[in-house]
Amino acid sequence: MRLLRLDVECFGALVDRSFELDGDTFVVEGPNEAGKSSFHAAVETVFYGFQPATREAHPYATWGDDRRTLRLVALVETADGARWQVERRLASSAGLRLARDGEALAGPFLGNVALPELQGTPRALFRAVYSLTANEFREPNDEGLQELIDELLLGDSGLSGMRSVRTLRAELAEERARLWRRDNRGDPVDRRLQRELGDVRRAAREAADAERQLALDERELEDTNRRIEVECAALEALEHELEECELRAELTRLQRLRAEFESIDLSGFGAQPDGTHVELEDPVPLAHELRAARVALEAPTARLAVAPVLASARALELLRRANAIEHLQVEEAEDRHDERGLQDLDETTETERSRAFDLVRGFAPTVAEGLEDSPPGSRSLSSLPLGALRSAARAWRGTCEQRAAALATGQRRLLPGLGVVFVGLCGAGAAALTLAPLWLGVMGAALSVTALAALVLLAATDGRHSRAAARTPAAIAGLAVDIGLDPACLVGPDAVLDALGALDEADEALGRAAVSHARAERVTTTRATRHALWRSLADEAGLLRLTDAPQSLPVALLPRLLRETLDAARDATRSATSDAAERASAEATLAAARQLNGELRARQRALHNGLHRALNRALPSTATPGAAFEELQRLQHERTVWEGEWRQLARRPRFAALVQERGASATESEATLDIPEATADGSEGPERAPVDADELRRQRTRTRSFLDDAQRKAGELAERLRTRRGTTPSELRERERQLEDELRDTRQAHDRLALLERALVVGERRFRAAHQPDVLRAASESLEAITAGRYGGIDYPDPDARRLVIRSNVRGERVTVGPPLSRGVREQVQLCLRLGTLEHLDRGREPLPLVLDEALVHWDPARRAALYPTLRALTARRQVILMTCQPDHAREAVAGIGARRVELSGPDTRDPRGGPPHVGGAART
Amino acid sequence: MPFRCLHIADLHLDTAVGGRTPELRAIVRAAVHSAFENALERALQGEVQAVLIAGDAFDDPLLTQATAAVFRAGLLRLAAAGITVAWCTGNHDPGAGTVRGRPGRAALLGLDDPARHGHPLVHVFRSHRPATIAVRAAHGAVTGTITSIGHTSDCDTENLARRLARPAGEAPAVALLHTQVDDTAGTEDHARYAPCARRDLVDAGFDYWALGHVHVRGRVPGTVAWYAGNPQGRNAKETGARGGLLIEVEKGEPPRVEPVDFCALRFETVRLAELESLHHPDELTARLASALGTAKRLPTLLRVELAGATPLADSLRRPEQRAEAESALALALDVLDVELCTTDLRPVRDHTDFHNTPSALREAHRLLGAAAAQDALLSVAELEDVELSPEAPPPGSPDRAAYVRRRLVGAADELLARALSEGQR
Repeated sequence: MRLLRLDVECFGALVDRSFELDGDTFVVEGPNEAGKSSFHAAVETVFYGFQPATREAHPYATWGDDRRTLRLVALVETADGARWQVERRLASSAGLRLARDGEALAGPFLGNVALPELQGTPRALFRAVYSLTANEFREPNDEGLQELIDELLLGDSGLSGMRSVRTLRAELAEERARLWRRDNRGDPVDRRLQRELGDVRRAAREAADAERQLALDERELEDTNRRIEVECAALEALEHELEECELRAELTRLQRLRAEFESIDLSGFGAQPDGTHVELEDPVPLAHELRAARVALEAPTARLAVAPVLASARALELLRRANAIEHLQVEEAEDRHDERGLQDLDETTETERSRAFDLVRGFAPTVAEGLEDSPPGSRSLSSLPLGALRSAARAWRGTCEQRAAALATGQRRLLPGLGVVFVGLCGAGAAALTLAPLWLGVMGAALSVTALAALVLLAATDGRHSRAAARTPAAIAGLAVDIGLDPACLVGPDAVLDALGALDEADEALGRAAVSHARAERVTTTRATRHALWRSLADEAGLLRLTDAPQSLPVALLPRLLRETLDAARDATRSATSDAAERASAEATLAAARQLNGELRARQRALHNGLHRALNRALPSTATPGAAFEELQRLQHERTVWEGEWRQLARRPRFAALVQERGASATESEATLDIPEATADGSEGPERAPVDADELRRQRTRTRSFLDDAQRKAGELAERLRTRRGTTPSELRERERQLEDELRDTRQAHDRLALLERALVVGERRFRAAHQPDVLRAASESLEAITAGRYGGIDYPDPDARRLVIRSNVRGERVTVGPPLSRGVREQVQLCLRLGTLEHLDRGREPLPLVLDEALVHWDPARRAALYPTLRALTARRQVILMTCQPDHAREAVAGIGARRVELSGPDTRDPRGGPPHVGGAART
Repeated sequence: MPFRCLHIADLHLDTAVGGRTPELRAIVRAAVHSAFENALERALQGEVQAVLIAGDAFDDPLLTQATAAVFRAGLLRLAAAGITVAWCTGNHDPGAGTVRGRPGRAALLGLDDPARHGHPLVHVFRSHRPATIAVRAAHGAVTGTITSIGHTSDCDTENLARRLARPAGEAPAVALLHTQVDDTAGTEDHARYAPCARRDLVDAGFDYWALGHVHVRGRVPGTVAWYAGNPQGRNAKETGARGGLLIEVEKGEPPRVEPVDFCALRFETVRLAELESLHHPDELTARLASALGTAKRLPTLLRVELAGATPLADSLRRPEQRAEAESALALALDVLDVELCTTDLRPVRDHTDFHNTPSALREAHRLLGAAAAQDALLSVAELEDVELSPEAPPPGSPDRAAYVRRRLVGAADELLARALSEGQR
């Protein structure tokens, strides 16, 4: 590809510049800051695009505030002769437009991509080989440069998107070393897998052994179980034999005991001659029963022992007095002499006395005065001779009436009247005797007698009275004086009688008052007495001690409290009375029971003594009748049990056979429960032969011990079989296979990688054999030409050593390209290597211009001059563009290879900001 | 009356099975047991007079006691139903002690010990002494005879078939043997234990040979011998339906053989090529569904071998994306597991420049491509002196070149893929 024209609108130091480059060789000359580097970068940019592709970051964007779009337009010609217009622009983004020569650049911009013809030649390769400055000729210890040399000489160059062979080899070597390596350094996967595989194999062996052991265990378990079965059967037979042996011994003992029993007199039991039946019973329970009955009977007796305490004399006295109080209460209730009644009595007394005073005061004032001073209960009128006066008055009036009756009706009319008076007096006397106190009765009786006598006298003296009726008797007068009767009342018998009537009425009133008073007094006395009794009772009952102020304790409460106390006492008394009756009954029953108990005990004792005597003969070891009886009971029970055992024994075929041998049938033996008696030869029972029971027991112990061991072992084996856990051999085998597969895959992967690596080595070798000689030969020829035969023979003998060597024709030895070789020579070797590579790179690629930007500054003129023919030879396939700030170098190039000269003017000093100046004038070529 | 038998072999109970995860392997192990149970059920329902087990009932070192009990119980179940059981031992269940001097599990099972688990109808042939048993009908008539001999160790190399001869009598005669018949399809993957020739089988004169050892069900050509195959595939190599043979034998008549399947799951392998048009895993699902068909299948462990160039190559080669695709495929195809083999898969790329441009990489690529070919022995020779792992045959070994070539299959493409820079991959 050739660059025919380059129009720079804006690119670094170049602004609005146009370069005509239609030719093979150019030398761009200009002082520093003239724009040579911009030109160099513009050429690369035409081919590959902006790098970086942002205006802000691009080093050749316009300096200062004048941010212009970077734009290059070039005309290029490809190897096949096609010409293309190339427009590259970097504004907000980078773009490319292509057009055939003569056509207008139009249409959308493509991306910032390389020209299509350069797809096989990356920018890095262009920079490394085609576009060189002095900086590119560095020492080969630089990694990037070394890689470039590798690429140049080992055949990697030209493969777009491919990594270098060296990188691949390193990667493969590292990867395969991770998988397997002989020295196992770094613990490769292979070693790790082998370790795990070893573990798994060991575990698999153990698991297989365990399973096999389990199989053996199972077999052993079966054998053990079988032996257990056999031994169990043997043990059972042994047990039977031992049982038989023991049974036989026991039966023998029982036989002996039975013989002894038969000698015991048991006549005391069973049916007695008196018709009773005595069972052979254990006396102990009966004694216990009797004891329990006695205790039950003694319980009420024990309760009675408490009763006298409750019914003490004091309580009885209280009871008695409480009864009296109750009686008083009854009387009080009957008389209704409660508080209100007592007040009524007092009022009645006062009323009657007032009435009496009033009556007396009308007929006998002096008497009335004396009455007022008399006590309320007194009856003062009784001391007055009112009867005598009344008799006198009546006599007087009888006289008068007799005289009148004689006058009018005769004496017949007087006698009935007198009879009535008599009856009345008798009635009054009787009433007085009945209702009044004794003295009143006596007084009534006296009055009656007096009245009777008066009537007799009256009748006898009827005639005489009638005569004297016409005058006041002296007796009356004298009596009236004694009585204090007002003389005015003595005017006639009726008046006297009226006065006497009033006095009698007053006397009756006084009597009633006295009665009322007496009753009130009695009530009062009775109440006081009762209260005193209550308090006394309460005191005795301890009620008063219950309160802090006994005197203030209302009497009304005492009855209730006392009643409660008395009720309790009464209940206790009643209970005591009942208990007493019960005790009496119980004591009677107890006495009967004791008697019965005594009888029973005596009878039992007699029985026991009899039994004891009998049993002492049979059982000398028993010390007491109770023990003998218990032993007897035990033996009876034992005999029952052994007889049962014997029945079972008799059912066994072997025993039946034995019995049959002895001539007895088993059925018969079983039916009669007879123990076979001693045989004729003296042996006892159903024995086959004498057997040592102890030996049998020892044998049984041994068998049991064996069985215990065997069963324990069987249990352990069964448990081991049942609880087999863990990974099975097949699982481990699978894991083993998996690991084996992984190991195999790992090793095969390693081998594959090793083969790949080796293939790369072989590929390198083949490539070097096929292509490297041309490159090195061309490079060597160039070097010899440049150094005038002083050096030559460039070689890259060991890619791993990564060293270029040359041959020093002067010294006749191979020299490594590096210090102390001079820098100029080293640069010449590097340039020759590139020149030798160009032909190789051109195969299948578009030839690109060779740009040398101040690449020859370290070369001496002679060697620069020697280079030009070589460069001229290159122009047959590509453009050669040299750049220099040295006018001499430019002239040499013009002279040496006929290069067209492109001059760039100096920097624009008008720029006040000191930035890179714009080149003012047009290029001059 | 024909002699009706069920012929099974190579149960390989408690063997190590295939499966990419422990869970899958547990399923396969359970399937091996299920297949045995299926065979038992079929025998109990199929009115057979005998069940023939032609060796390798289990893998002796791997057999667990629990499985041994299951196996023993199964045989006793058959015997309890009046079915004669004939089991000859094979190299995996040898009849005598071979493992560190201990007795083989066949002996420990106690099936031939009347004092232990022996049953009159259960016959174990576990010695080199041939024996013949008569199978009788209910009325006592002999309906057939079974002649057999067993392996005593896990490496019997004697021709045991020659020891067997047809017994006299008119009853159909069946021979039972665990052997490898030479020149028979499917035997190349099996070790040559107790090998015999077809001629031996023919000369013996039996009406039927019930063979075991080869896991592929089929007839030995030119004979009346059949391999029952194993009832359950155990790994990806044992694909397809598996089971046993239901046979009816009459003297002088060719046996009537009916294959019956007992497997509880299947291993299947599908190879897909011409995948250039695949751009999405769903398209791969459709292709696989089409390849598998729509018939109702047993639970399946599917292995898919992908070959050729496809746009999916890069993604399917990445383990994570491949695992995702496998899970999605298993779900979509309703199978237990899908394993994608992408070794032969390569991406679709234009490497014209690479092939046209001289470079060391191109040389290496050409070298690898040529070495992988069978006739590029000279090219391989350049690679033979590489230090390889112990897995490789030693230098100078005749197998080394073949080993190297196997390693180089697809290596050229791999090299190219590795050489691509990250952005280009």
